[in-house]
Amino acid sequence: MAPQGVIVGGWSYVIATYALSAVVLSAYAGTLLLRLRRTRHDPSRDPSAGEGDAT
Amino acid sequence: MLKRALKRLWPGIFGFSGLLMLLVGSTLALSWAPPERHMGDVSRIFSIHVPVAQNALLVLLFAFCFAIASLWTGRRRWDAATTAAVEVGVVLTLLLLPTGMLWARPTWGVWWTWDVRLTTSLIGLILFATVLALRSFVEDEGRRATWTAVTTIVAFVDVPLIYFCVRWWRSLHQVQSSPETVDAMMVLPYRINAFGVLFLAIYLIALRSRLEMRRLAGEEVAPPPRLASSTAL
Repeated sequence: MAPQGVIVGGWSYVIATYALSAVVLSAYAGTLLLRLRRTRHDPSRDPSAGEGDAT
Repeated sequence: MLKRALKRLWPGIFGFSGLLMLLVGSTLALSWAPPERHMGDVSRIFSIHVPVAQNALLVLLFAFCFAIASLWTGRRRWDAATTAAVEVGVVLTLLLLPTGMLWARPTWGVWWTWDVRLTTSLIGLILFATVLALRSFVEDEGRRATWTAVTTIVAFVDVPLIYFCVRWWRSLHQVQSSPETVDAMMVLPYRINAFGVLFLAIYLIALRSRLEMRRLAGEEVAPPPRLASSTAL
């Protein structure tokens, strides 16, 4: 029996945390890469025009 | 030519290094680091939750600096960088809350409590998500850049509160611990993951910033919808 005040087990929480982090970060990076690839093939978006002033 | 190649490649270098560090750091945290005396294996959650939380605040600090630069110079690149940093900050905050909840359930016995650290973090998430929502409503590019910068600066007021609230008010959430009081075998995976998340965040900001620049350039090139329909007639 574990001493009082000591948490035993909890691996499911640990695995869930790391899995969630991997999913969220890779999903966000994946959507950004996909959106970038899509804009690269769009001729109406000229990256050279992107250095101007906002105002 | 080398400068041009470096300009194109540097985000990828950061992204790859970040991913590699996260893989190494997480493997060490899960298999090599010892369990904590009272929390046991649950303490391994710290090696990812704390780096995500710290970098969320750091990225929001970047957003604050970019917002000031955007207001100061009026240049499109700072507006794009502000948007990118706010969005990455929101993603990291969105991740820090459930990872914290997954730690809170076995240690505190509850998924959520209206503790000052948790509440200020949730408010931060709502405030910065509002910045992105407001941005999507403004059509004029100049006004949109100003609004984004101003609302980012206003929302940033919550960031020091998130960091210092555990010292200023009584909180269930523990205060920041020092590496001197933690076993070196626990500190190493945490440190590797902290740099891993930072490098990955820089990569994501660069990617999102590039995307925003292209979107703004496309807005400039493409005719407004009303004009396009009148030309068709």
